Amino acid sequence: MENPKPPLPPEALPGQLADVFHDLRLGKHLCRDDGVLYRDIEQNEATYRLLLKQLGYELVSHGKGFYYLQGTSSLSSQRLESLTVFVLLLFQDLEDRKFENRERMWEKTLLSQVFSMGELPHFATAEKRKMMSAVGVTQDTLAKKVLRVLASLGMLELMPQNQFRFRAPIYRFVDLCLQYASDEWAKQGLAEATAAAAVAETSAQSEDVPADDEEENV
Amino acid sequence: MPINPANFLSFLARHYRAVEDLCRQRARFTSDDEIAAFLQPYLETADTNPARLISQMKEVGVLVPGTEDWSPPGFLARFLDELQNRHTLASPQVIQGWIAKLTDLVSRLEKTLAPATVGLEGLELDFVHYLLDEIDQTFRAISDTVHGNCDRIASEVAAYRTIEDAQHLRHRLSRLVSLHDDFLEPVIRIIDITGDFQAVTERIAMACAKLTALAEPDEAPIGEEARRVQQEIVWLRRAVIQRAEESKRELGPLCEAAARESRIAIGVNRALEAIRQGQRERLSLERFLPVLEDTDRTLLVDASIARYLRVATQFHDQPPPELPAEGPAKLASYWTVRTMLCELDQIDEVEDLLNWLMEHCQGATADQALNLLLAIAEHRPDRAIHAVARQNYQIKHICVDASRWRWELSHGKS
Repeated sequence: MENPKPPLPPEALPGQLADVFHDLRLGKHLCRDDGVLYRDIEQNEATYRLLLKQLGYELVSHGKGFYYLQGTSSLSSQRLESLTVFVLLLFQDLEDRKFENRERMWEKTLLSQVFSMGELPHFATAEKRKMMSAVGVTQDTLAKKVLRVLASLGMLELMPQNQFRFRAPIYRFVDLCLQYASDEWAKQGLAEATAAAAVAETSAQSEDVPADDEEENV
Repeated sequence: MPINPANFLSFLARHYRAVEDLCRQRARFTSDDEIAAFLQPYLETADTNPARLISQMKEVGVLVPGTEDWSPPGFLARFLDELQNRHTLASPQVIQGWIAKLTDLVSRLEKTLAPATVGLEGLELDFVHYLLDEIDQTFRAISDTVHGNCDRIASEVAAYRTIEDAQHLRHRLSRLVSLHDDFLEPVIRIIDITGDFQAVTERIAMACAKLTALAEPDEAPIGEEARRVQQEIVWLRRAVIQRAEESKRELGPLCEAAARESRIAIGVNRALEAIRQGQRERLSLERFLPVLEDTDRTLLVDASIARYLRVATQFHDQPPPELPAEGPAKLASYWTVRTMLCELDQIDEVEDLLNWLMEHCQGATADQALNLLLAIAEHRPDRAIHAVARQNYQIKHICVDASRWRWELSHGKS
C-alpha cells in the first residue's frame, strides 16, 4: 500500500498562498505587475504546483511571464466571445496602422501602449459596430462587459481618464490568434465545411427522390 | 518644362551606359562641345549626330541646367544606384555556382598533386599556378558577393528605418522579408560551417598545405603562393561568415517580428471571418482559451461558513408534526351584500327575507344574518318591505324576535 505523503508543515507554505489562491481561482492571471504575489509564485513555483495539483488545478506558467490556473470549470464560450471580438478587432487595427508608429511593429509595443477608450476602432465603422453588437457590446456597455472583465482576469489595467493598457496575460489572445493561423485550424475548418456541404447535398438529393407512395401515385 | 516619363525611360534604355557614367562621374558641362566629347566613346555609329543626342538629353531631362552648367539631375543618380543595388544582388544560386567552380578547381588541383610525394618533380607548375590563381579569384568573388549582398541588405534596412510613408513601408518590409528568406538565409546555409563552402575550402586548404610541403625543399615560389592562398582562405572564410551573421542579426529581428505579426494577423482575420459568417463555434474558445471560473468560489470564505452555521443552529432534533391524511375542511365562504343582492334581483318575491338569508347562508351567525338583512334593506328600500308583524327566528341556538321583511317587486318595475 502506498504511504500517503506527509502534509506540508505550515512554515513550508508560501507566504502569499491565501491571496494568490484567491486571485487565481477567480480566473485572474498574475504577472510581474502584481508584485509580491507574482514573486511569491515565482520563488515557490514547485510548492504552488504541488498544492494546486492536489486541489485539482494545474498551474500554468506562460513564457511571457505570467501564471494562471486551469481546472475543470471555465468561462463559457459565450462569455469569452465578447472579449475575443474586442481584442481581435484591436489587434487588426494595430496591424493596419503599424507603419504609422516609429517602431513599425505593434506586438513589441503591445504592453507599453496606452489606449484611450474614445479612440478605439471598435465602433468606427458599421461592420465593426455590427460585430460588437453581435456579441452584445455597445459603446455604452464596453467598459462594463469587456474592459472590466479583462481587468478582473488580469489582462489589462484600467487607468484614469478612460484609458487602459494591456498586461502580459493579453498574450493568451496572441497565442489564440497564432492557433487560428495554424494549418491544423484551417484544415479543421475545411473538413467541417466539406462535411456540412456533403450533408446538405445528401439532404437535397433525398428531397429530389420521390417517396415510394409518391412513385405509386405517379 | 515637365518631363515626359515615357520618353525619359525610353532614352535611358537606349543610352544606359552613357547615362550611367554621366551620373557616376557626376559630370558637369559648361558647353555642348564638352558634352559631345564626353559622349564620343558611346556613339554607336559614326553617323550618330552628337548635337541631336545632346538636344534629346536636354529635352527629356537627362541633363538639366544649373547656374552656369549642365548636369544630370540628382534624382537620376539615386534612381540608378537603387536600380543597380536591386539588380546586382547575387542570388544563392550564383554563390552555389561559384562553389561548384571551386570544387572543380580543387579536384583538378588534388588530381595534379596526387602523384607527387616528395618534391615538385613531374608537376605542371604552370597549370598549378593557374589553378591557384583561379581559386584565389573565385574565392574573392564569393567574398565580394557576400559582402556586397550584405551591404545592400544593410542599406535596405537603414532605408526602411528612415522611410515615413506608410504605403511604401509595407512594400519595403515585404522586400526585406524577401531578402532575408531568399538571399541571406540560403547564403548563410551555404557558407555555414556545415555547408558546401566550408567543405570545399577545407579541401583547398589541405591541397595548399600539401603543395607548400612539396615546395619547401626547393623553396620554390609556388610554395609561397600556396601558403598565401591557404592563409587568405582562412581569413576570408571567417570574414565572410562573420559579415553574413552580422547582416542576419540586423535583418533577422525585423523579419522575425514581421513574420510573427503576419501570422497573428492571419489568425485575427480568419477568426473575424468565421464570426462574420456566423460560425462562432469554430473558434472553440473553451478549448483554445480556457479561463478558470470556479462556481463554488466562496465555499471556503468566512461568509460562507457563517451562512452554514446559521442554518445549522436552526436544526431541530424533533421531527415536524405529521399532516393529517384527510384534507383540510372547506373554508366557509363569506357572504356579501353584493352577492345576496345579485341573487335576490333574480327573484320576484320572497315572503321572509331573514328566513331566506338563513337558508342561503348556511352556518351564518345571527349577527351576520341580521347585518345582511339590514344592508339589503338599506340598498333596496324599494323592494325590501318592512311588515308590521313580528315573529321569533331561531338562528342556531339564539332566538331572535324581529319584524318580518318581505322581498317584493318594486312598484315601478311591474
